[in-house]
Amino acid sequence: MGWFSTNYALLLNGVAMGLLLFMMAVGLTVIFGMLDILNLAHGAFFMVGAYLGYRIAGEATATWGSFALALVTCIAVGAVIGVAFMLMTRPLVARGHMDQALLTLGLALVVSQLLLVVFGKDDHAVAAPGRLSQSVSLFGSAYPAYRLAVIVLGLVVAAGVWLILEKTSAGAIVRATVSDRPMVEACGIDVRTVMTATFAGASALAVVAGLLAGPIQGASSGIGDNTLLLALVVIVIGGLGSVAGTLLGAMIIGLMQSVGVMVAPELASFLTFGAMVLVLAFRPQGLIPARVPVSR
Amino acid sequence: MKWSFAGNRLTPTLTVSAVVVLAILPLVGLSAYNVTILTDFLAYALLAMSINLVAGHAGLLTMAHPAYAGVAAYAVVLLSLHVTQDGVLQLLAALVAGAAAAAATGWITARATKVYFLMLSLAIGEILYVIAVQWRPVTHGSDGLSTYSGMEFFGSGPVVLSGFIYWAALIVFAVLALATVVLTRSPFGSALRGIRDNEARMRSLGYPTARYKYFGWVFSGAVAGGAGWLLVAQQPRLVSPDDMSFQMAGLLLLAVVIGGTGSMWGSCLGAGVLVVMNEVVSQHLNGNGPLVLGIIFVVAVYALPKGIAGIRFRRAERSGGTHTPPGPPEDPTPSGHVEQKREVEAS
Amino acid sequence: MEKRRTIIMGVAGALALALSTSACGSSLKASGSGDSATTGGGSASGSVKIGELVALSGAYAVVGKDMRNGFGLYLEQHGNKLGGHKVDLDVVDEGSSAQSGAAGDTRLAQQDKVDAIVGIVSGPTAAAGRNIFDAAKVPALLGNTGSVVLGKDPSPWVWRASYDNGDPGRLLAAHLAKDASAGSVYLMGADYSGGHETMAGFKQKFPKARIAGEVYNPPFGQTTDFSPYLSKIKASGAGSVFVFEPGADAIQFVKQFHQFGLDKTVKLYGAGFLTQGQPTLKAQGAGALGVYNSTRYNWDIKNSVNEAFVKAYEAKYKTLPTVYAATMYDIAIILDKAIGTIQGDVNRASIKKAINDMGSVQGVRGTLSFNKTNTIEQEFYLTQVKKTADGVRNVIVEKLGRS
Repeated sequence: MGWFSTNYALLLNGVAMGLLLFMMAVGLTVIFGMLDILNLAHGAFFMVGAYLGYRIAGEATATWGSFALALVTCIAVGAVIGVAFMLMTRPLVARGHMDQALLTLGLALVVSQLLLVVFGKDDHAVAAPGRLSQSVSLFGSAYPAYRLAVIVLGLVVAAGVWLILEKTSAGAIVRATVSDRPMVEACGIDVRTVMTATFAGASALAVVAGLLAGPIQGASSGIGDNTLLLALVVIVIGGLGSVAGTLLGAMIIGLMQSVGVMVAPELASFLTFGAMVLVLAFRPQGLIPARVPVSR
Repeated sequence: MKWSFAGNRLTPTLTVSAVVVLAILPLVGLSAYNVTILTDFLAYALLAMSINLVAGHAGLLTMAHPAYAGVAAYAVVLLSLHVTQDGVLQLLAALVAGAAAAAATGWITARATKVYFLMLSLAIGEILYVIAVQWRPVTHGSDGLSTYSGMEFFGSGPVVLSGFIYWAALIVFAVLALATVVLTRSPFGSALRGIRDNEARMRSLGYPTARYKYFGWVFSGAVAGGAGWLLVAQQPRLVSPDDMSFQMAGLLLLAVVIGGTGSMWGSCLGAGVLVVMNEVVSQHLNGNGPLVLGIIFVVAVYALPKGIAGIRFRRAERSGGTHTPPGPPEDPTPSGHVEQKREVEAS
Repeated sequence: MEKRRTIIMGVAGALALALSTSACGSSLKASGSGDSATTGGGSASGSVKIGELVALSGAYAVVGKDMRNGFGLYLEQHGNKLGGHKVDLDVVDEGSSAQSGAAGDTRLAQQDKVDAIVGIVSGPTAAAGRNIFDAAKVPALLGNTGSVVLGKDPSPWVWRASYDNGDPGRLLAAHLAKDASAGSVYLMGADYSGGHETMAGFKQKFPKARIAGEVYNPPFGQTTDFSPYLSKIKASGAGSVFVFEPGADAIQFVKQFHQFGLDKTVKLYGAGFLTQGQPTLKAQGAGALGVYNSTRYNWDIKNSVNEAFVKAYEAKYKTLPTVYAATMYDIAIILDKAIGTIQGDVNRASIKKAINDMGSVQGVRGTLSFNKTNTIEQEFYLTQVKKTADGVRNVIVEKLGRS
């Protein structure tokens, strides 16, 4: 118990950062798994959430009200951006997935730069709402309450996504669209609406993730690219298109970074990409492959 | 299998004129600063061509090649700091470094395709980037590494004037670019395109597809190495991890696709847009250069389905030239380049 | 076919002609060979061309903006004149990479024909600039970075009007070495030259036995979670920690330092940039209170020049001036005095001589002068973040001595 009380912070942080990574990455893997689009603008979506958090929730302090308002705004903005992106990539469907991916890369540049034009180039922070900005006493030392909230939220989001996909009829339709699109169309369901709705939902999730990560990461010009890279690593390790895999991959990376820095700070970033290379080389489908193989 | 030179007569003329114009620019008084920018253009154009070789002609979209160029640039600077100022040796070191980095990581060509491959190449590029940042004793980390000694060519004494460095760079560029183009027009190039279009079919015809892809990859790595040498040719001879970053890789890939995958001079044009935007126009945009560049790329992806090269050569396509951009890399229908006649190649 | 060839030749010829008219210094001749005195803005017309190289885009844009504000305020207050000559200001974007910075160095030195260069945010840009400015024989006054390579191998054309990266650490170390209550000190810096050189300065003047540990984190936003580092600091039992983190990292570090309760047991000392500027203090919230900094400038430095400067800056920009703005304002003061002493042509060589002969000057930082390595000598202060009647601010606690 003695070891635990001095080192609990390491583990808790690993779990918290892992769940945060999960929330960042799950939108990307859903879009990729369901729609076969590698959305390289994912990091930019994340940035939108962070800046909305700074402006709407607040920088130095935030109330539950302002944070809730920010949350609602993020969901709405995310859905709108998602639909917009879906429409923008539509003309390129005939030209293949590569062109769509490259379009999202160009759009990522535009969106992230526009954010700086609108919100300025200063670095900002996002405040946690109400009491969550305080610290609680755990095993005799202080631990930020917000990170505990992140752990709870992350598990809720994970459970929510799983429930929606596995247990609801809407989720069933989405899964069916992945495995047998013509059949779904034959059932009279408009596949394009399903795909658009999925993209909108995943984008909203990405923007919300930016807001939720705000109190830990802040809002600044570089977070988009950093997030995209980490999210790519997570979804590759976990398995492209697999939500459970994303959770596992995120936890692994989160714990690796937390413990890795303690043990060997110079190697931490190296290990992250090294793990990605290993998985891609020896188990390209990921640790928990999506049940339906995603077409390449 | 034939060497394919059929088709566009226009391109050799245009190319030669362009090289001539480039060569005489220092003589007509182009300023030292602009000559430096031109050298940067040559470096990025060559890098774009090396990417195009594997992306356009072998269907391997890559984000690792800027990292290979970066490795070569570091090799050159380290050589200059510790061993020799001989320009030719530095060039050789760059070519070898680029090829070695590609060779060490080239196993990915046999392991994955399309999106997986893109992500694998991204991971490799990032690992090399992280090494450049973390290995401070050797690379000086984020601060970058620089040498102020000019290169010496055949016992000339240090060459520091930008005009003369530019001419040396132009020669190197021309040679490596020519080698790349020749490769694409050779039977090997046709085989690569066949592999891009339908690997299973090529294998059934007896081609050792894995070896072909690997060789193409290593060759392109060497060319990227040459681009690395060009990057650190002009004073200040500076290389930093930013040259190998994910952002750089993304921009170059975009430049190649905008130029037209499969078209070498399209890649040069795409690189040209990049350089003009970053180094010339951005100064007048009050820091908004990246935004304008992003908009240009988005518009270009829509408006130019076959890239810039696609517009020019639509008429020439019908004469069957192989220099025309062949369409999206994952187009499964075999192009007309694959000969039906089977030839037993020495493997 | 003939038509096409003609067109191409025509275009090529036109291109050549057009470009030849833009010739301002051949790439085949050594620049600065004999014409250094005349390659500059029109001294005959009475104006002086100043090149301002700062970051307008990228991670350093925040610092660049403040630097422009500081320099611009002085020009505005003095009818856009320095030393009686009208100023033709050429602002160039340094970008966020060493390459773009070096390109900016080259552009100002060789292409834009400026009489003097001011600014530069990042170390690598300054390090590359040292050789470029030296070769082009253009005087440069550096306004932010204190890259030590410029002190080890100084160029007669480059002055660090900012500081030496090791100064904050050296002076703080001397102070803490005498203070037993500080306990052992843990060192943490961003993993690039700024961080390493700052810590190296501290280690020069602090007993090795009392250093609890040393760690560097990936810089420029790559570290979002500082908790592993905080755990290390805590585990070492250090009584104080000396930190160099710039920009967004400074905000997150201070916040997390407070959230994990380290501020109750460990004293936090920054190198001058940890709680710099009101926007940063606002973002850090409660975590900023009590944080110390070893800095070359603070708004409450008592002299008439600074008091007037702070008043004017606040009136115009609605916030207290940062060290970045203040340093550039001082550079304007230096140039104003130096150029004012020039009899005859104002050009690169005469400006260089004027700066060398200038002696000391009264800046917002007090009495300033350059030493043998062309580095500014100035007073350093220990500040602490406190709640004042006007809100949360860095307040001078005591003087740390002259650099």
